[in-house]
Amino acid sequence: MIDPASPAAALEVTHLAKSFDGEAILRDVSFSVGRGELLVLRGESGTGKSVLLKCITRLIEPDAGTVRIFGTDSTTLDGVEVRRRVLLVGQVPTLFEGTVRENLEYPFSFKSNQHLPPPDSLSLLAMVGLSADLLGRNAAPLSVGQQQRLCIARALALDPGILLFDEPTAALDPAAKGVVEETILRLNREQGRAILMVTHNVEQVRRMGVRTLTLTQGMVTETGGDAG
Amino acid sequence: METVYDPVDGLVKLGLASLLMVVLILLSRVRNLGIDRELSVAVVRAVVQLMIVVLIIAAVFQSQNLFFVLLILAGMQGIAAATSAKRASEVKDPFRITLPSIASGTFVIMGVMILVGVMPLEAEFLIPIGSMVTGAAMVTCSLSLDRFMREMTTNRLRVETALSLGATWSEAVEPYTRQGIRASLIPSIDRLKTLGIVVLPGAMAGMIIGGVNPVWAAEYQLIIFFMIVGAELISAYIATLLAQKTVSLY
Repeated sequence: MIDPASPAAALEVTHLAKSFDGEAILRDVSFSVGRGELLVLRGESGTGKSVLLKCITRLIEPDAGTVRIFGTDSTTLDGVEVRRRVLLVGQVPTLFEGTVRENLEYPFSFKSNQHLPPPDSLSLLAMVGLSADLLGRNAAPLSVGQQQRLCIARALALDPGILLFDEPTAALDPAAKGVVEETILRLNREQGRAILMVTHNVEQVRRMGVRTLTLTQGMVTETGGDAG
Repeated sequence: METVYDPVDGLVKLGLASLLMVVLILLSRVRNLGIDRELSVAVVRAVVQLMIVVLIIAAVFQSQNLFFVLLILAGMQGIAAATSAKRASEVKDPFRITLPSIASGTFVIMGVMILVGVMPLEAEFLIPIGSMVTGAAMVTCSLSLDRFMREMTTNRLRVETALSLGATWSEAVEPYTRQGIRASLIPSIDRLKTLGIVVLPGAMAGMIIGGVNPVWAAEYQLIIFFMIVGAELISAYIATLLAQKTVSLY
């Protein structure tokens, strides 16, 4: 059982390792994300950033190491429970058929979320800077930037303890990139959400100005500046 | 009026029908369609296979031994499952999916029909109807697996997103298993809708040619169709259910 009131770090990864077909993708990854902290993990393509996020959410089972969520070892929890608490927003905005409202309500069709209060769709859209007028509109024709913000709003609907972002602006144009970056910063600063974001983009790291780690050859090799 | 079988007359008619195939093979060779060799092999195989099967079936009919009937039906399941498994090459251990899917579709439906007294426990009914049901279950099994795997490839990100939003594996893949089942049953549903109008049912036509009362032939045709659709639905459901347990995203 996760205890969000526990004094432990929001997320603590220790000696995490994962190989595919004998090739080590993650060798010995250790770091932590404090409560209310926004941590950026930078790494070139193919360094295992996405695999790391999937190991944290148990979409992929790691070979070794531990992941603690608010002090609780994630292997003691059901994978579905882990993913509800540590919510991953992917690189490519992925929506389902239907309106913006239906997409916001979509996670509540799953058994594990049915005990949660129904989402306040208007507040969620406001949190990510989307207009309330979009609520009844089909989600498919939205711009990619709007779609990604809708994905963030949908994640927020479940009120996760920790948000993980996998290259959240990689598919966006420069203007949309700025809006999404600002949204992520606001969620951290105004709501105090613990966030781990991975990116390959050095400029983005500079722009966001938060504590940064670098992932190289499957290991966290360097701790960057904390402008935080 | 019951038709009496005359072997000489039968062979002459088969020979005349075979001449038609020879003409078609020659035409395809002249037109360079590239199917003459395959078509020739297929025709010879069909004749030889059917003759061997007829000899076996005739012997089983004469013995009325249910063990042999079961053996023949079991053999059909194995061959149908192996054929379907070849099509489902992207699925892990496909034979372990296709065999229980096809066999459960066939035997559940036939079992129910026997229990309620619709189908007599006689070799003359069990073997031909069993083969029709097995064949239909095989096609549906292949179609449902093919569609399910394609849907899973196309919607990999959606499955991953649903899992990230708290779905269980079966909740995340459920829309795609449903697509697999639905797509595989479309031909049967369309055939049922147009039964007797566009599609002239083969079994019914055969029975009428054999001298059976057309009303009785129609009744049996409907029973066979309902059995086929039932077996197809069970087969597609079990196939996608088992397949979703073997696929993974990474």
